[in-house]
Formats: sequence, structure tokens, C-alpha cells
Amino acid sequence: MTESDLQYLARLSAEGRRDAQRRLYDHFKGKMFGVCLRYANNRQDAEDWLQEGFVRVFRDLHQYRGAGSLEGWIRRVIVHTALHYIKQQKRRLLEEDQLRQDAPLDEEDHPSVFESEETPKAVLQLMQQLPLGFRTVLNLYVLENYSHQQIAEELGISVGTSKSQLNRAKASLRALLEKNLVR
Amino acid sequence: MKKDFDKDELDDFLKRNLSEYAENPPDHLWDGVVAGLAPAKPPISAGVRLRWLAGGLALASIALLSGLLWQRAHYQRQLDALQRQINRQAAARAFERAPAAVRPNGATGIHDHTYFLSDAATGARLPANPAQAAQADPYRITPGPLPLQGPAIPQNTWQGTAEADGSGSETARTERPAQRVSPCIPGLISFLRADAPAISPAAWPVVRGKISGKWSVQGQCAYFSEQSRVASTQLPPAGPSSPRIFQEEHIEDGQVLLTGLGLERKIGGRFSLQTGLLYQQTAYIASHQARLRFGDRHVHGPGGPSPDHNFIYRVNTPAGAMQVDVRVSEVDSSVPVPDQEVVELAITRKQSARYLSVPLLAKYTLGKNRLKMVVKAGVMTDILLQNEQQFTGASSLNPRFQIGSGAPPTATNAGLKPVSLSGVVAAGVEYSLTPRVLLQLEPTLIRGLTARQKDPGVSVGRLATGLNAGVRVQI
Repeated sequence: MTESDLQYLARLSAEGRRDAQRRLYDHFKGKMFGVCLRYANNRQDAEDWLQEGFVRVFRDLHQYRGAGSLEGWIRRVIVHTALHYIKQQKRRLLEEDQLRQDAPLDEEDHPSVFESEETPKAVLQLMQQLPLGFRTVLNLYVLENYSHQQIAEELGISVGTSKSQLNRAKASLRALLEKNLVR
Repeated sequence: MKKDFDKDELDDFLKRNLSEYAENPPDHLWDGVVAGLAPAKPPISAGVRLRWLAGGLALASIALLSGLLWQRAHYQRQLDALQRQINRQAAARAFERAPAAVRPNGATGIHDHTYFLSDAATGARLPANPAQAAQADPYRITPGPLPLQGPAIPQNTWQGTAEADGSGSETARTERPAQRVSPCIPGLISFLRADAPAISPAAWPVVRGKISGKWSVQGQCAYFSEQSRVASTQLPPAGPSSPRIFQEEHIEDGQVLLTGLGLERKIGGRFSLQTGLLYQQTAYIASHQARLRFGDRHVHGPGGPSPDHNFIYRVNTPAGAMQVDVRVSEVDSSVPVPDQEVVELAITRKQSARYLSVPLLAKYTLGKNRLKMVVKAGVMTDILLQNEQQFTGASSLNPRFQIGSGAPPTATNAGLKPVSLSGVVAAGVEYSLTPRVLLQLEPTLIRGLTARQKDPGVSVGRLATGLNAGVRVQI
């Protein structure tokens, strides 16, 4: 589907045409679910966020003026939805994270995810083992190209915290990858 | 062999694997999206909220205004009635003292007079003959101080008239200087001597007079819900012959009623001290289950086999550890009961105590309007008047046994100390009905500071929360 087709579907969707919304959803659902999976702790959360994210996409689609790609705009809405829920669950999740940070990574608890050959999925599973703070900063910085200043504003943390979270996230993920990834 | 990542490689690796990662979500998610897009019930707009708020405020204002108008009208009616009464009395009193020499017929000496009071406005004429002292004449002039309440006399409305020997009439008018006085509610305040200057109506609302008001008395009544946390502080006696103990640690709920009189003294500024004499009644109704073995029965002295058995055990209560003695009978004594048979008893008891309480509280008053905030804190000494414990119900949960008829359970405990101390904290409001009469409503917290029970083997933490209501009159 070309960008102009997508723009056309977007216009119809903004007018409330359900068939156009369905086609747009079907076109982006896979990638956006992947985005949600990167941020979420589990599949259930990712499904909830995707659902809520697309509700926001269709409600706010009239604000999309065609500047930039439609995919980029939808991705930003989905990421913001995820961040909204992350901030809501921050306290509970951070407590869980603390437990996870304190506990040593046990190979029996986390068997190698690279037994299959689906490397991206395996990397995703490893990312999901990272504490919420690490994972969120890593996602925003590396994959969404946010600056530390933007991350700090988005998450309500300091720039220093953002940097330190990123370094620790990378170190943790590197350790996990080196342990699990077979060349 | 495992892959090694250097610092820069990791970002590329993640972007390569995850930036375009896609995975199909479950199909049912679309239904959720459609449901989320369904037109929701329109939220209440700020304008609607504002209208509701304004409506509520308007209703509250109308209710308040109606109350105030009713209070004013009620007050005014009382004042009018008092004023009429005062006028009559004052006019008659003035007339009584009018010099006889001015009689228009020039007669001298003692005459029989018929006295009248007439209303200048309506012309109504009422007999007022001070000579008929023995008769129940409502218009008779009573010597001595006249009880006057409130503002009052529009001068020259009532006038006294005497008709002497049918030779004409003479008139005396009240022509005394007006004096503004403090208003009051009927029956509580001012007394005016018969020869005191007349008073003029005070404007409503109340014109605040100077009331010294350092002292005030108050009647109060309070109801509390009290919780006692009971726990053993010592190990129960050991040994096979020691009675078993139940409810070692538990919470019991009780009710407290507190009523009596108080005295308050202003000590400057916003602070006052309060004391008083209060009657306090506490009542705890509690139940417990004692799970015993038949072998726990108390062995009496020598004698033949009996179907009646006594069981003795201990229960912790707010009045200390209590030793309970329950007589249980076998329903069918022909069937032998093994020692391991469970004898489970359900017992209900009521513990009530009466105290004479003397509070000593510091009070802080906030506000100068009719409605003031008050905060109090202090201590209350409770002097025990009576302590009573009774069993209100007993039954056996094992059908092989029944509670011995004619032998209700008995209990012994160390009882309560004659004096105990509680801490009191209260915060509430005081509403001035008049400058001298105030209504009080105070949510109050009472916490036990010293133990009430004599038994040192049990600790009891008391906490009561409730509402204290009262009327305070400044004197």
C-alpha cells in the first residue's frame, strides 16, 4: 500500500468510516504490536496498550495534517500511549523491577532464548527481562531516537538519570546477549 | 561460541532486529478498538457542573436565609410579646406612683380608684387595680423587681388611667429616658427593677452587649464507640491442672455514654479551661468459644459417677483475665464419654461499668462569628462507681452435652481499679444561638492512659471515638 493510499485511508478513517479504519488497523497492527511488546512487561499489557493506542489514533486522526509519514505519526501515538501506562504503573512496576534487579539472573529461570532462530523475537524476549526503567529509556533513546532531554521530560526524570539508566540498560542487555546469543 | 558486543555494535544490533519488528496481535483486539470508538456518554461539561454547583449553592442559601428569617420572625414575635407585657407593667407602675394631687376633680384624701390601662393605639381598656391584690388579676401591678426580657418600651403606647369616685379620670404617662440594653432570649437574662428606667427596643439582629462571660456552664451528652485491645502480658500458668486459656489476644467492642455538667473559665485570649462532673457508663457485650476436652473437666472429690461436670477455663477480658466455671451435663449418661471428646462451649457475656468522670481540658477557640471552631485536649479522671459482669448466654456446641440447668456459669476476676486516667482530644464547632447561649458539637477521641484492670497479667489498650454534643451558657 502506497503512502498516498494510506493518506486516503487516514482521511476516511478520520471521518469515521469503519471499513477504512479496519484496513488501516490491519496494515499497521503488526508493527505497532511490536512497538508495544518492546515497552511492555508482558503480552497482556502490550495487547491492552495496542488497543488503547489505536482508539487514540482513530480519535485524533483528524489532527494528522499529512506532515511526515502516517506510520511515524501512528507510532508516536502508540509510544505515548505506552508511556502513559508506564507512568501510571510506575510505582508498582518499579517495585517489581527492584526485585528483579536485586535477584541474580539465573540461567535456569531464563533459559536461552536463542534456541530458536527467530533472532528479533529472541532479542525482544531478552529486552523484556530488563527492568522497566532500563527498557523504557533504551527503547526511547536507541529505537525512537529521543534525546536524553526529551526522555527526561517525558518520564519526569533528570537527564543524568536518563543517561545512567541507558548505560546500565545497555550493560545489562549486553550481558544477556553475550550469555544467550550463539553466533 | 557466544557473540561479543562492543559499545557501538549494540545500538545497530537492536535497530536491525527491533526497529521493524512486527508480530500480529490476536484478532479480538479489533473488537476492543471498535468498542472504544463507540460514542461514549457525553461527559458532564464544565458549564453543566457550574450550573449544578450554582443551583446547589442557591438552594443552600435559600435554606439558610429561610432559617434566618424564621429565626428573626420567631425572635421578633417573642420580643413583641415581651414588649407588650413590659409596656403594660411599666405604664401601670408609673401610674401607680402618679401624684394624687393632680386629680382633675381636686379631691383629696383616700379614694377608691378603679385603675385601667388603655392602649393609645387601639383604645383597648384593661382593668388594672392594684388594690385588688388578693385577686388573680393578670394586670395587677406587682411591687418589686419586674422580670423584663429583652428590648422594649415604645413610650406612651400604654397609659394608666384612674377613675376616682366617678369624678373623672387622671392619666400618668411613662416619660422616662430610653436605655438600650442587650437582647436576650426569654427567661434567661435581664431583670429590671420596677423603678428602673424604661428601655427602648433594640434593633434586630442582636446588638451585642458587653457580657463578661468569663465563666460558663454547660450540659453535655456524648456517645462513643470504644475498642479495647486485650493481650496477655505474662505466660499463662503451666501444668496439667492449670485452666486452659482462650482469647489471649483479641479486640472487644463496647459502647460508652457520657453525660453531665461542665464548667468553663476563660483564661485570656482564645484559651479556656474546662472541667466538670460527668457520669460515664461503659458496656461490652462479647462472646467466646471455649474448646475443651472432656478430660479437662474439673474432678470433684470422692463420690459416685455424676452426669454433671464442671469445666474451668480462663478468658482475657478488658477487666482482666477471668476464670470461668461452667457446669455441663451429659445428655445421655448411659453412654460413656471418652476423655478426648470435644466439649465446645459458646458463651456470651456482658460487662458494664459506671464511672464518675472529671475532665480537665484546655480549649482553644478559633473565629469571632457565630460559628466558631474549637479544639480541646486534656485528661479525664474516671472514678469507678460500679463494675458488673454477667453471662447472658451459654450453650454447648456438642449435642452430647448441655449447660447444667439451674447452674449458670460463674466468673471471677481481679476487677477494675478505683481510679483511671484517660486522654481526651476533640475538635468541633460552637454555634452562638445568642451571645450567651452556645451549642457545641465535637467529634472526640478518648484514649486510655492508665490501666483500668487490676490484673497485671493482661494489657488493655482502650480507644474510643464518638460525638459530644452540649449547650454552654455564659454567666
